[in-house]
Formats: sequence, structure tokens, C-alpha cells
Amino acid sequence: MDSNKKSNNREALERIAREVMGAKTAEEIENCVKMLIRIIP
Amino acid sequence: MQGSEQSENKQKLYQERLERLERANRNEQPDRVPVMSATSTWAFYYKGYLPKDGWYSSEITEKVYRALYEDFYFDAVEIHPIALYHPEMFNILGGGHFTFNVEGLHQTKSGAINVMEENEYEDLIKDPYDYLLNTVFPRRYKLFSPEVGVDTKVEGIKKFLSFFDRFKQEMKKHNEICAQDYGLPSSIQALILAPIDFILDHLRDFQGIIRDIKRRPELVRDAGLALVDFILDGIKDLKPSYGQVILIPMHLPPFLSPKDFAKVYWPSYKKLIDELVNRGFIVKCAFERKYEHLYDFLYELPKNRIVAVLEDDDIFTFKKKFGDRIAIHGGIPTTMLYYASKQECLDYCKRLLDEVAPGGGYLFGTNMSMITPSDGKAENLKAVNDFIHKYGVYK
Repeated sequence: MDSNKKSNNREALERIAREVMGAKTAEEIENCVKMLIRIIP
Repeated sequence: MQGSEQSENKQKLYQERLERLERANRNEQPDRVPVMSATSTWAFYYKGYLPKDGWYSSEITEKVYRALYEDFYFDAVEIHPIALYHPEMFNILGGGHFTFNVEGLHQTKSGAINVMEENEYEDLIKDPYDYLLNTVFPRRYKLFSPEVGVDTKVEGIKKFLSFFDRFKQEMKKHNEICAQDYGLPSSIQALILAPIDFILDHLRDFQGIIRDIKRRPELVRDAGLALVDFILDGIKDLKPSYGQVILIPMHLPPFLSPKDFAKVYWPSYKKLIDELVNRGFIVKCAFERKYEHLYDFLYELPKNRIVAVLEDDDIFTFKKKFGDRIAIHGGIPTTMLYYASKQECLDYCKRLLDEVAPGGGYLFGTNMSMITPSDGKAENLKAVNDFIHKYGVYK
């Protein structure tokens, strides 16, 4: 898988972190992204 | 009785039960043997429903657990009947390793777990989050495949999260009702997997991981160690809570020789346990199936900070060997609750009180979760819970 396609998944989770979970700082976004990865079964 | 007086009584009962749990969890002697519920989806059948009826109706789910807590004696809720997984979650994600039978019980989908190649351990070790997001998810879910645009992914994840939020709301409601109306605390603060079981359950499946343990044991061990922080990240904001434990259901060890267990499973499992205990948690390990061949390892677990849920191991032998250092949860096999007579169940419970309860550190319950109707007859469950509540008193 090339890096552009990889970033698509990451980008989606970062948008969820910002738009749904209210994350603002880079650290908050990173924590939300990690949390999302953990809860997807 | 006035409403406020009733409420005060429930609060008092709740506190008494928390104290009972805390002391038993610490392998101390409480006022009486706590009676634990592990009545998972069995509760739906008991009330004349199927587990899938709870997917679409909060009212039915509430009716089911209210009946459970009104008809049977319990000191705490260990395993509740509310389902985390809903089929629609997997439709949204487009795949997954779970499926559902006609009654609504989730099952592992045959052949769907093994989404990790045997030569990818180093990728997993390097960055578990990146590996899951960019390698495992695209193989497991259509939503995460490279062909899907980012807007579609965002909308799909939002829908997935709405089901997750619904579960959290159901749990909040359940816990409030339990506390306020029944004085029932929840005994579990969080459920986590041991790292090697994460690889088994979510990445490699049984055949894959057994082959890896024979061919590349060091990499499996190191992947387990790399996953300890990943697992702990999930509870990083949690503080130890009085009367509650962290639950670790354990899956692979019964199938490992002591040599392979020591080499591959033990390093990350012990590291995880030690870290949890250092943070002040008491850890409940569900030793699923049999662990007798691994008993020597259990002496190395932190003294009086572990609760062992015993499934198929002999509870009386376990008490003799570990009663001075590990609390015990379990006792009545679900097969006995279903196939034996009421008197046979009560005779067995008397033996539990005579041989396992003395000195404390004992929590009574079924040896495994009650999921289907054949996990116990209601009249037997009622009889044994009442018996332990009545006679499981420390003088």
C-alpha cells in the first residue's frame, strides 16, 4: 500500500477527532486517533 | 417506606456490598461471601426473549435485567446482559471477524481473524497503531480500503460511533438503575486482553499463532511486549476504584506447554500484571479452561492482588495451593446448574462454603458466563444464590 493511501485512513480518523470529539491540539488529536483505533473491533 | 428512606437503604446496601467485594478481592475475610452475577445473555431467555430483541429495544433490555436483579439474589454485577456488538456496526464497517446467529449471539466468523501475515510481526512491534490502521483494517473492513474516499470513511466512522455511544448510554442507564433501585455495584472497572491473546483473538487466530510460537517464538514474545503499552493506553485515565477490579479473560494458555508459556506468553502477561498492580489495581484473571499445568507460574503473581476466576480447574485444590495469596471467584459449574438437581447443587455449595470460603478471599459465582438457556436452570440459580447468601456468613 502506498503512503498516499495510508494517509487516507489516518486523515479520516483525524477529522473525526476534530469534528466529533472536539480535539484541538496535536496531542489531543493523537489521543483520539489512538482511542478510535482501539475501539474498532 | 418513604422514597428517601428506601433510597438511603439502597445506598447503604451498595456501600456494604462494595466493602464486601473489596475485602474479598484483596483475599481478606469480608462479612459474608459475595454472590456474583455472570448472567449475560442468559437473562434474555429467562424473561422469554432472545438476545437480538435487545438490539433494537432499550425497554426490553431494561425489562430483562430488572427481572434478573429482582428475581435472584446478587451482591454485584460481574457480567451484564447488554450487548456491545450490534450487527449494523459491522455492516457499516463492511466486514469484521464477528457474525451473529439467528438468536442474536455473536460468534467468531470462521477464517476471518487471520488478517496478519506471519512475516509482519516486526511491523506490529514497530508501531501497533499504525499497523492496525493501515494494514489490518483495510484487510478486515471495506470502509478502510484504499479505494474508499475520506468523506465516505468519516461518515461511516460517525455511524459506527453512534452505535458505540448507544452502548455507553445503555451501560450508564443500567449501572444507575442497579445502584439506585437494587443497591448493586458493578464489580468490573474495565476489561482488557493479555497481549498474546490480542494477537490470537484479533490478528492470527489459533492455527496461525500456534505455528508462529513454534517457528518464531521470539518475535511473538516481542510483539506481546510491544502490545503492553497499547493495552494499557486503553485504561490510562483510569484510577483504582474501591471494590472493583480490572478483568483479563485469558484464552491461549491452556493450549500451551509450560515451556512455550514461559517463552512466549508469560513475559508480556507478567509485565502487564505488574504494571497494573503498581498502579494500585486488583486484577481478576479469568483462567478459562484448565491451568493446572501452569500452576508453578501463578506463585510469581503479586500476592493478594489477583482474583482467579476458575473455569475447569478444581477449585478445592486451587484453594489449598493458593488460598494464602490469590482470591478465588467461581464455584458452581454452569453444567451443574443445568443438569443437576436442586439438592445436588445445594450439596455442592455446602462443600464450597466448607472448603473454599474459610478465611475469606472467595467470591461465589458460576464458573463461566451464562449465555444460553443450557447454562443453567433458573430454579437452581435462585436456590444456590439464596443458599450462599444465607449461609455464607463469616462469624
